Amino acid sequence: MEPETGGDSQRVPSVPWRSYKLVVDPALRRAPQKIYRYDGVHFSVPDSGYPPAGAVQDPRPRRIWAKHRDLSLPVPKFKLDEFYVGQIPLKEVTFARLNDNIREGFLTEMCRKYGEVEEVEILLHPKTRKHLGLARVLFASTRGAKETVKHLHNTSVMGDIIHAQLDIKGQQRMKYYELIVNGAYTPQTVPTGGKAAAGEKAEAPPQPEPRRRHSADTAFPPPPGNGTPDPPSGGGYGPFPPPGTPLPAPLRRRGPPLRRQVSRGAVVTSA
Amino acid sequence: MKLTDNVLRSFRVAKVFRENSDKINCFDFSPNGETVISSSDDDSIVLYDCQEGKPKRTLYSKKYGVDLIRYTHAANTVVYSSNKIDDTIRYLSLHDNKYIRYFPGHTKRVVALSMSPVDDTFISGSLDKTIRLWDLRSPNCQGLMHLQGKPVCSFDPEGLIFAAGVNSEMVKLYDLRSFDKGPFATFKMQYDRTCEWTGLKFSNDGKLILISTNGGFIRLIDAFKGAILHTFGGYNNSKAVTLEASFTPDSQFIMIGSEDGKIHVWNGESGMKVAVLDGKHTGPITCLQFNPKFMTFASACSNMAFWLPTIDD
Repeated sequence: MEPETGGDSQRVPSVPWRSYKLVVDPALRRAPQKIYRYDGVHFSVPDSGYPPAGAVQDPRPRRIWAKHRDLSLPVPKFKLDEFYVGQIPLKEVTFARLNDNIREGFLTEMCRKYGEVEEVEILLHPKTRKHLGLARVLFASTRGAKETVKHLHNTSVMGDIIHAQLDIKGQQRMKYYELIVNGAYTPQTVPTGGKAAAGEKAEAPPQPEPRRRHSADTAFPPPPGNGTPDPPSGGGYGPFPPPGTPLPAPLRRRGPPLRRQVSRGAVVTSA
Repeated sequence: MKLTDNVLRSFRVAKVFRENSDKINCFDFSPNGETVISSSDDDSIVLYDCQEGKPKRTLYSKKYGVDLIRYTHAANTVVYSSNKIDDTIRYLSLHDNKYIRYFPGHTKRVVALSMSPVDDTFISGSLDKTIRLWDLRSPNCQGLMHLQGKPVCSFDPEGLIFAAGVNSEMVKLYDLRSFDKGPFATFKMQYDRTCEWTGLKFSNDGKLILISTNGGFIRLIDAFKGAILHTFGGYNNSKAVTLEASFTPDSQFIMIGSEDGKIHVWNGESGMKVAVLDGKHTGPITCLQFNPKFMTFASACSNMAFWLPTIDD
């Protein structure tokens, strides 16, 4: 009954059949026994009730297959991690010196004119939750990111001249973040590369002034306006800082009104 | 994004994974394109996330080894053939790393494994010169065919028929309902003594069959009439390595890796070579497949590489 022995142990010509099909398998449906069909004609049980296979012919329908050819596939968004070896697409824009009233919604509206926005994040101080004037905007395309920088960099938004730049993996943003959080600079004075005006520095609020002078004596930050200084903290981020804020930014809809006015005052004096 | 000559030319390696210590011998994308599962001569099975592009999990098949691996339709189960101890096919649940069923029968190494695109049926071809049909739900072999030589085989995209490449010289087409009676079509090709057929695949539109070999060429034939449409060559394969050739999901392009780490792409209609891409692989690219649902493909030597187009639409 079981065709395995005959089929497997002997060569093809010596067995009475070449092929079989298990037409009834008790493991698949209720049936008293297996029924095999050999070469389309013979059955393992007499009077199986199954007809032999008919004439063989191509069962495939001939169709119009155009839908397959017109296929459109989405490009996956691979994480830029330690496995990443490709070019970094310049889709990320870092904003600095934003007015602290600017929230995600406003920023999204502002950027949407230049390209599809995928992610928006305002960076806050990890402890005080104060607005740092920094933001990350991820676009769907490099074009959107480039257009945004072209149109918004060094323009006045809510009364402040903002800074906008393309930022690979957010490295620059992380530097600004460190510089502000460790107290070396304020959101208004953070040096943003070559564009950081020296005049603005000189008018910076008095509080960080002595520290900066001191640090200048010990010669760790390069002169302002000449590239971005190294973080005084001595680095602490590797070549692959995680994109975005190191700490989760909870929704901070209402800041303390007093503090906000103070910071606004600072904006006015430095501008 | 649509597949065009320019999009294909713009593909570059975006991710490289070095999870394996030996050759990756097979991989398979899940039908939704979200994951890929690979098997390696180092006896490991590595699962990757294709959306973020990262390894997700590693399992081992130390005792039996793992050779050809295929997703079933359930999201986290696979069937695979072994390269140690015996030639039983195993049905593994990835979820709890337990075998669900064994499919014993073949007496020599399994060289082809193809899952039906529509149901729980799958077929296997072996060096024992047989093709067997199976059902995931039953340990009983659902069908057996003795052939005149080493078979390679594959289901068509509708799961109505399967094709068997026999003895590196003919393609036979069988109706799933009456395969035991014999093929409904046989296409005889010129036998080429310089190489053997190592794989056979249908295009997604069902019109074409791609025959890969361990030599320096692959063949594209009409899936209905058997006519040879194109023979693609000009890539390096001097050591008779089994190199996997694949269609793009739109059935328009044919791709294969080579022993020098380059990937060659042809247009199936015109037969023109469209691109040669450098994967910087450290060994022959034994496996190459395009993702069925996303604009990315994977290539493997002992490293796995994921590719992305580098042009914006």
